[in-house]
Amino acid sequence: MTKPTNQPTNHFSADFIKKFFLVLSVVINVGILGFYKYSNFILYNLGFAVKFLTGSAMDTRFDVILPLGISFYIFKTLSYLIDVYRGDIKPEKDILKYALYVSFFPQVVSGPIDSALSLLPKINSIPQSLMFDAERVRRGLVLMLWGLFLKLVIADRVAILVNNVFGSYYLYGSFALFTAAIGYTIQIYCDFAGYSIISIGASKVLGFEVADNFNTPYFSSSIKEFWRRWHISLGTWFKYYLYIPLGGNRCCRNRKYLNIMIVFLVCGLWHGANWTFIVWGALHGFYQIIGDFLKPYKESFNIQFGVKTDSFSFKFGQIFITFLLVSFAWVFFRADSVDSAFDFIFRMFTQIDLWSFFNGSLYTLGLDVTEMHILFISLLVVFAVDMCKFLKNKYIDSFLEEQCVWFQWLAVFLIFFSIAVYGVYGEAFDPQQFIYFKF
Amino acid sequence: MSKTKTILFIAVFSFIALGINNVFKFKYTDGIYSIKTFYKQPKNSIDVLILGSSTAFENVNPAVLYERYGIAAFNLCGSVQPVWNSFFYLKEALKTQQPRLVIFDAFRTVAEADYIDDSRIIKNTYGMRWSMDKIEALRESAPKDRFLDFLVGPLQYHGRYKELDEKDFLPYLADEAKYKHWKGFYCNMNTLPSVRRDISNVEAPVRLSEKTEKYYRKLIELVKSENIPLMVIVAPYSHITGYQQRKYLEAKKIASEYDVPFINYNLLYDDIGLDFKTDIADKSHLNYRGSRKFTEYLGKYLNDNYDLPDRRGDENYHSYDMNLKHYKESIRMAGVKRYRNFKDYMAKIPFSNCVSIVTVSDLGAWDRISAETVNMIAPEGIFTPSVIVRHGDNTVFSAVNTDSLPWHKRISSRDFAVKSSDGKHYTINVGTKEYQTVEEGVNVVIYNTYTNKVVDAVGFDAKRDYVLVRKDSK
Repeated sequence: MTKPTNQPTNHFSADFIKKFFLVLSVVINVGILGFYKYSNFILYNLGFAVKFLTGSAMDTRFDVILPLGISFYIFKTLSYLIDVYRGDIKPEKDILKYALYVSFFPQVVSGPIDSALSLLPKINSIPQSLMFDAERVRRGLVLMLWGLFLKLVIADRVAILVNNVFGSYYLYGSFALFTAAIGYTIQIYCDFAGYSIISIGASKVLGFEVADNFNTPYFSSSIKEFWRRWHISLGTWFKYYLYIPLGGNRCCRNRKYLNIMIVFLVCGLWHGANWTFIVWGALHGFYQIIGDFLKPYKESFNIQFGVKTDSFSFKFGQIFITFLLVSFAWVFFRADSVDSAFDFIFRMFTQIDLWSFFNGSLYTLGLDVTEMHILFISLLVVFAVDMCKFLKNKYIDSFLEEQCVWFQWLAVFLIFFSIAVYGVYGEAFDPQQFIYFKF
Repeated sequence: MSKTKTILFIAVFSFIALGINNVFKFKYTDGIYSIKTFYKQPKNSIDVLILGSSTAFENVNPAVLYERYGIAAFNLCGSVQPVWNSFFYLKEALKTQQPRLVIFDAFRTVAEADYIDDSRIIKNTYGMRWSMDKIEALRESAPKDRFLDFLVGPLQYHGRYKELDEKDFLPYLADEAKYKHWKGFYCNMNTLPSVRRDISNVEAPVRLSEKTEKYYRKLIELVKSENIPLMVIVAPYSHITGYQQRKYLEAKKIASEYDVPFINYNLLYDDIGLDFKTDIADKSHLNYRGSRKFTEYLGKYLNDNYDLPDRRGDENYHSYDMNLKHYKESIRMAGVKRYRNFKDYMAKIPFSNCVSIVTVSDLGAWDRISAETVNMIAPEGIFTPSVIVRHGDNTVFSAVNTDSLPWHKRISSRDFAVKSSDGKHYTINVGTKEYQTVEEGVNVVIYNTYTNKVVDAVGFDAKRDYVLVRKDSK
């Protein structure tokens, strides 16, 4: 017979042990991440503070090689620990399966950060998923190809312009700076979404269905919606493992705003050990808080002035403003330092050069006429593909699967050979180097 | 059905991939296209194989060797070709040819560096057919950490989309007359009056670089192992230095170890008859006059000292006749540019094998041209504004005003047109290229229907007493 009086004690001790190991594991994992990723940042700022307070310099050099993809697999590890702690999943007894979850190679470099709750059951059903399914493999390959197109044809091409302007922003006027800011908005989307799509495609080929990581984020009508569409796996991670434990929105308004700010500051810091990322996170937190704060006023304004909120123009305006706000924030994300980001923005609004719209300046920012044409045409294709997903919820693999075989082939050939020819990879070809008689 | 679909998909994909690859791959004539053309030579048809860098392929002219002595030679060379690449080209050549003599130009034995610039690595390897030798050539040519960058060709050339032109799409680099029967020679038309240098007193040899010596010896040993006579030369060039001559002395010493004759023609300028005022193209090369003199001199030596058959008149060597014909036509056409004044130039029109288009835009311009010249250009008489088109001796079109313009005719697969937008001035089109060298005066375009090239486009400026003006097309 069990002694009922003992049960709470056992429960207590079991809970305590669970919590103890959870906290210990979290501390160790976050410690590893902090050691590799943030030691330099912390030491640098410490050195700065010491110098500010005492006037004497402190050696803050700390050279450590950052392990590839550490932010991603640490977050996956944390996800596993918390899911097990909460009882959402059973502890995995097979070390190989656990290792496969953490180091699932398509996701190691840049995600998506699939939660243990989502990926582990798929790993446990490997025998079924390994059944060859031609359609699944085909769709996976199409996604990989599309991801490569986004990365090699668009992101790496527009990066040439962006790097050129950001690298010497102090030489450029508004036109170039706005172009570079928009350019970076395109670059980071095509780069990051490209990687994610390749990863999702590779997973699909291997028999693992991984959820979308980017769902047409630049068609968002608000910053809040943007974060439901941008880097979804990270957003979900923060929501479940940080925002909700902090209290989420089930608390007073000020506490909610504080929670939002904490989440976005951590999110910024997660992206890199630099104040630029923290400011970027803070800016997004600020956008959300202001958006939430102003929401009732906006609604009342719209009612009072009879604004047709379901009209195309209104929605387009919302999307456009959201896009501009996001682009503005990306300046901090891309800049080398907070100072240079502010300087960049200051010049954006003070060095007005409207004539640059008309004198062909666009083609002098790092991409010539041909390169710009390639970029514009590629962007139109991306726009069409994203629009199809936005309106019909069909991504390129599903869309192509519904088309006739000739169209499928044509699309695949066009994408593949566009990457082969127009992809920015290999040696930068310089015809000048080959000119005969230069010896 | 699914299997058939997969096979068909792979077939279409491969077809497109190969097509794109063919368009994009490098086709430079100073290395890549020469070995590509070499592969097309009939088996065992080449009697003299010439190896080396541009000092070989610009100075030794197979057309002249054939014209004078009936020697069937081929320049299998590459731009700034290191000795190791000459070795691999030789290995490649011996797979299809058994020459009676190999001539190696030792110009690049002076090289100190173990690796050359990227473009030359490409030019001296990419034309080779895939084999272990090509991979070995790439391994030796490319810096160790960049071997894969060069091994995978598309990494180098996929970015050529901005420089693609008709050469990349049409056979024979869109110049069939020249490249169908080409033997690897580049005819340099420049003239750079130069000062002759005397290196006859240089004595102490200096060691070749380790890599160069290794491959120089390997090259000699390979030729010897095939029982093929080898001759090492240094072709004449104007900017030879004492240090280079010391290297050549070392190269000579090594050659003598193998009983291989070594002739440095920079010690024989007088015997060759080189005139440094007229025969030099640039610091490393002879021009068309110099290369002819040098090749004739070399040819006589070859004829006197080696058992080389006279291939003239042999049907199997028709391509050598065609190569010679193209060379002669090119030289003849280069001569058009010699005429500097209006009267001399006009006196030579019409040129044979040429479409000659003459327009006169300045009112009264004909009045200032002698009746004799007018008769030569337009025997039937002509008045301004006017235009006349001759194809050889035949008048294809003439007009005394612009009423019958625009004029267009397709001659020898090329479109010619004369247009006037204001009734006074003319523009001449050869294909889509437009020519109007002077606004007021006489414009002339000469197009050779054998070489399929615009030989000359000049204008005689009425405002400046008909002075000759030559500039590029618009």
